[in-house]
Amino acid sequence: MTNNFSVSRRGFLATSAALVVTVAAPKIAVAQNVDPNALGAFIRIEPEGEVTFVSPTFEMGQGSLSGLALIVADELGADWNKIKVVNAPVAPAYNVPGTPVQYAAGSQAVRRWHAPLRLAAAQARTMLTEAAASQWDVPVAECRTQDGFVIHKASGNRVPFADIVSDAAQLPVPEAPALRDDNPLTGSNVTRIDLPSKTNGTAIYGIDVRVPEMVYAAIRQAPVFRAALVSVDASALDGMPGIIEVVELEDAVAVVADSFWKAKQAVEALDVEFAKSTYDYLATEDIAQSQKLQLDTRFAVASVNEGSAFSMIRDASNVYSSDYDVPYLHHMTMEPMCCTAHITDDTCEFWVPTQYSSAVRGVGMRVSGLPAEQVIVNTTHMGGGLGRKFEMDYVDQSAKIAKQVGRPVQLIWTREEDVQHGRYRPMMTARLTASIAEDGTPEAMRIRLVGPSIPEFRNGIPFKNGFDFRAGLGITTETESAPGKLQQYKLDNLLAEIIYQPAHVPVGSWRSVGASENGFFIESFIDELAHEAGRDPVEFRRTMLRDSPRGLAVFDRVVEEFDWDAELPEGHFKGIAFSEAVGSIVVQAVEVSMENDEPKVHRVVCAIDCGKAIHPDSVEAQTVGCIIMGISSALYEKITITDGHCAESNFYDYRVLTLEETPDIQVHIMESDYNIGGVGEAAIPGTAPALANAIFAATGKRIRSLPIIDHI
Amino acid sequence: MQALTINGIEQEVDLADDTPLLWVLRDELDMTGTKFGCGVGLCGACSVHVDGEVVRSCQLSVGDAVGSEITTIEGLAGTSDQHRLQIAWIEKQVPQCGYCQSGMLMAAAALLAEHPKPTDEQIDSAMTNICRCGTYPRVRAAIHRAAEMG
Repeated sequence: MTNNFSVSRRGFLATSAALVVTVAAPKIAVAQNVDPNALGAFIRIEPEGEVTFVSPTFEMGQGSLSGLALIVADELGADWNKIKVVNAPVAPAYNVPGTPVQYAAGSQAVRRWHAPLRLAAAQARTMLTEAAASQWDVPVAECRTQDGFVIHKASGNRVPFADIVSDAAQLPVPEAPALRDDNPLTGSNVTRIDLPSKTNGTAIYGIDVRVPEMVYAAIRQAPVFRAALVSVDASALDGMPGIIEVVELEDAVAVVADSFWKAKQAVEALDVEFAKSTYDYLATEDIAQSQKLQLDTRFAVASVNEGSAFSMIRDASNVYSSDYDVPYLHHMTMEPMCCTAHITDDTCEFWVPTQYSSAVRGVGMRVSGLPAEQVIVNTTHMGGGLGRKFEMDYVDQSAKIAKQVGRPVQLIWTREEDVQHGRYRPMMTARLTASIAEDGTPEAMRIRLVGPSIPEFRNGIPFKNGFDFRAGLGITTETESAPGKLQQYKLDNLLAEIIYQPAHVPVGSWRSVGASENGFFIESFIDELAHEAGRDPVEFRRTMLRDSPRGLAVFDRVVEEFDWDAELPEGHFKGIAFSEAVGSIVVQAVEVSMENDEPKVHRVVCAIDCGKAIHPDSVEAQTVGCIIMGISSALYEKITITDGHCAESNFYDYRVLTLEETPDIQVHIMESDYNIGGVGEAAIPGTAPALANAIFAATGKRIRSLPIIDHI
Repeated sequence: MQALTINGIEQEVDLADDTPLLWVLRDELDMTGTKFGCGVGLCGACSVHVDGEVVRSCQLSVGDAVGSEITTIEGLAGTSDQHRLQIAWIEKQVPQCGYCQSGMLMAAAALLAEHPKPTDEQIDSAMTNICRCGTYPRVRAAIHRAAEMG
């Protein structure tokens, strides 16, 4: 039955954290003398010269694995076509710089790892060149590395890393080696490392893990979130083949069988009773109504309070205000939640598609009762993450099931479980108010947000240091090029408040988190202000961007590439939006028409300034991907709560954008000398408002509530 | 007992006739290149070829697959190293997370077999697979590129 088994297992070990336990110690673990926990962990050069990069981040499609490998290969002078990349185990060395944990989120991989990885590679390169220079008796300054060789041009000497690595390993590690100024890979579009395996079926995702003695689990979770499991009648399973065990969890029941299909059929055949819940009759409308009422409350927590926005608006004679809202959204990763766990007396091992390996280890320690050293976390490719695989619910379940069954168990959620038990992008309600200067631009702005708190759902604490920073993302700035407080706009008086609305609906980080809705609120509002002032939305925004040459340059590029002043075909309309998120600046202009009362998107022109583009092709891919997800969510997507549970269940009632509906998308990458910005989430926030602004131009109807198709 | 011909190799399994081919491939034969995405025939991640036609393997029972020539992503290249679609896919750097790409490639291969030089409209109507990363524009470009190579 397991003809491919041994191949899968070997392939997996070779690309997983198993290297810490099974691979012989390398001859050179570069820079380990400086700080064994910080640098030696990343680059291994084997005696045969093979260069392995141990990646501290995880691949979910964002391209970071290749991006970080490129930074290392380039600085080291390694051969790109031969570099190997493996995922790091959980260890302090791999914690995201500046944090105590190891994760892939917030579009941070290149931003946070660029400098430390470049340094580690420069140290290794310096040791290699010093060893070669001393062998050849030539000045080290005349030696360089390229494609896995140390080269001395004048003498014609060249030596592969393999032949010099033992000598190099004896040398002291330079503390602050010079960085090279020729970085031929940086800015090039070399082929991403994971692509071949993603075109022939050999890439291993969480759902593809196969370990000896492994069995499968299917789960049924309480439809009303977190309702307790009361009873399970398993008599329907009598005579079903392949059934191993029924496992009762707090708010779910799982069946373990020798195949997933059998487990799934069995779990669906169970007669299960969940407890009544106080939320049994709750619907989205109730939560929305409550959030709307809260807009008027006197109590709010300020996350941004710059200048004197409150009093200026209170005392102003010309004030404009609008209310907006966005629905709960699902991530809909193509790979549903899944995790393989095995707990024995002395080890707890996971094979898991996760964005947050430190937390996986924490779950392992809690469920198994074992200390950290005995919890092994093997991370796989993720079939999409989008923020959903930052969560631990599926990991926790798999550990508990594995503990009871006593052998490796792979838990797979059906698509229905995946949709109905998401960690949704919060439904948010907002009121934006501005006092208006004579020229129609805002002098002061107040942004009131009402909604649930992601930290509260995750950790039980709604605010940290007085506010929920996630809900404020996309309002202020993460760049050094901002002239004011509102992204790149010139605005000195800004009050952003959050009113916490508890709800039983699970919420989590959805690609770009708070920026995904705040971008919609702010750029819709600015468009309204422009129309209110009778000014062209492009010219109006240019006025507001006047003190950010960087923001203005990106904006003007889109205006030019879109040919904003050109006449569009009959029945076509345009909208534009500026946005800043994850430290990058994005502007998008869209062209839409209305066909049978549904908007059709024809064209999107986008420009992005993320500082340096390490791998421009990936910047393009991520930006296009964000725009497609942005169109999809703005036009169609929403999660509805009915009788306390999620009403949607699969692709037939959670509509996402298809290939046929995808417009022509142009991305212009504008490099600058500013700090490197994130890319994986940067282009999400601007798409929805650009579309809504275009629909206003087309229909005269201002879309203040998403998804758009519900409000035309 | 069911005798299946998969990528030219005969394999025997012993399962309930209504077991979907998808789970036979994945759980019984450990051929994990074919992915589970929705289980209801909508997303296309589980696409394979059955007698040359693209089929969503979560909707085909093993009983009905007996006697057919089944091709999965593992067998797409046939006797060569890579199918021209796979070459084009890498050249255009199509995959992101990559999870839907096995199904995309199988659907694209069936399209090229029927229309060696497909138009955009033919690509639009044939490629109904869902990709959450948004690789659609590159899927289009890579299909055109592979068509040129053919």
